[in-house]
Amino acid sequence: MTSHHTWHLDEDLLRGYVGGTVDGAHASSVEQHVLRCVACRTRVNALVTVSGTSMLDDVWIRVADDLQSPRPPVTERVLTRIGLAADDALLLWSAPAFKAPWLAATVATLAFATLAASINDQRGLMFFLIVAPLLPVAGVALAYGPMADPAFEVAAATPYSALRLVLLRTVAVLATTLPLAVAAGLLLPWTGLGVAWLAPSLACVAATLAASTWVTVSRAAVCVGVLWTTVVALASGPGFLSPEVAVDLATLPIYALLTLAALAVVWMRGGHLNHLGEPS
Amino acid sequence: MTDIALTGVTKSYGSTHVLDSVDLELHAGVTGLLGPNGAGKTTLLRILATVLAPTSGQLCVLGNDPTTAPGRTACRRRLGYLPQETGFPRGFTPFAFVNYIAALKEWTDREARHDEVRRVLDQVGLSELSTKKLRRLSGGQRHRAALAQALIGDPDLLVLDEPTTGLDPEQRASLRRVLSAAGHDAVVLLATHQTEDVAALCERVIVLDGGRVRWQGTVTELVATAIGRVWLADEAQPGALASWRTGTGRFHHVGHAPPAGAELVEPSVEDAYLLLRGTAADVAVA
Repeated sequence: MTSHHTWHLDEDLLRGYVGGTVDGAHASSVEQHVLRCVACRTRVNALVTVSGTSMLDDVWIRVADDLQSPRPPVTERVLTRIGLAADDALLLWSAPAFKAPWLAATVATLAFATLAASINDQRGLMFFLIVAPLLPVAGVALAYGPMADPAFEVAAATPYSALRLVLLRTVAVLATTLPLAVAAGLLLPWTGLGVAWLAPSLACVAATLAASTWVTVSRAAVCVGVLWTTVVALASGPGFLSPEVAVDLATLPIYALLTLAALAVVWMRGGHLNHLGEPS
Repeated sequence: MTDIALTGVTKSYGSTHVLDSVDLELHAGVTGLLGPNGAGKTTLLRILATVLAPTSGQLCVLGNDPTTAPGRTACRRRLGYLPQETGFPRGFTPFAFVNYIAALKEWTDREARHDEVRRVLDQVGLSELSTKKLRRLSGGQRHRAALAQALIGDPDLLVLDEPTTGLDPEQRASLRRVLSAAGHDAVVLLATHQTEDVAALCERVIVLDGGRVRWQGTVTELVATAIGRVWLADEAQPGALASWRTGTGRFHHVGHAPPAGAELVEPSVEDAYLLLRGTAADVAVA
């Protein structure tokens, strides 16, 4: 190869090539030329360092970025597509409640509860009515707090709003758990009862969030679970023969009122969510 | 100018005072927090890191009151915190973990966040391991990943609970470089049991015991309290506050009375701390 060229690259073309703004045909032509022309190669070298960062560095940063931060999971990308900010999607998807083991456990529990309800009688229904509303509660307990998040103490010392994080993850828990539970409920032979538990379920979730402004979310979930089980058992009457009373149409206003009251508590005491599970 | 001020800060669980009327002032620079287990070091750090509220007392952190919601958020925007034990979400790499915390620290721009994550991982020497699963890394490497998140955004206040635990000598030396650089502009408070870290790193020392501040001052002042109370001798001295056989075969004594034929030596931070603790114990017994 020699550098005895009678012509050299135009300055604008050279800058366009270095800046990556020329089309493929021109870029290919420039590359063919600089392979043989030392003078133009030197000019390219001089141009590739801009503001202290070379193109090579830029390329390396992009490669490192691709290697270090693999493509977000499908669900995270979907959440971003539907309008959630990328960082919110990242924080949402990092919760254990949205990982495969939780979803598998939800499906298994619902399958068991549905089976029990369909092959047995009222006691099977009672079992279903206890389990289905509490699944989202368990999901919320696994979405936030010292038990669910191993890095909770670090996270609690960050400025991101705990209330926002909890609500985001709660909505996601409801979005993943409720459709499964509703589908399971529709398989039951009792018309209406398969979805009648939705109102108490929402009340249980809201009560868990409200209680977690005083105690850890896991402890709040356990308390709500015990309470709901007691309600269903008491409502079922002697021999636990009438569990459907717990989700009777007449009870709906009570659950709605409870949900609103609990959400009001969450709104007012949201600042207490990110302490280490103790009154503050 | 005082960056951090605590006045009568108390933390109680029932009738137990974990912190008892603590008064403190902290300024830019590295301050070491020494004290035995159960002295209240972690509780003090958690209060400063805004993850625990004091039962009573007043706090001013970088001009904000962390007992109010807006003050707490303002503090957190300028805070880096390394708890005593940091867990990691399942399946995370150092990059993913630091990226997750950076998102919580309001680094919303993906590109800028990734640049910052790379910077702090480089600072703690984890660049080469940033894509390995955390569960496959050694304890020291995981500890450095936890430290990296505390360095995000060059915080004005760094609260570190035993930052050198589990690190080998090279890693500790590297960490000291990072922390001393941070201490030029920021308030760095680190709780430790390693008195050599205090000697190597800290300008000031606070000794906490039984939830109270027993002593505070510069490292030089702490060491000065032990001058004339540390000896090397050929024989062991049972009555000494602390006495052990050194590698040379002679005995290192820390106490109030010299053993026979003893040779006075320069005290270390550890000697001074032992003397201080011994004195406190004497007072407590008396």
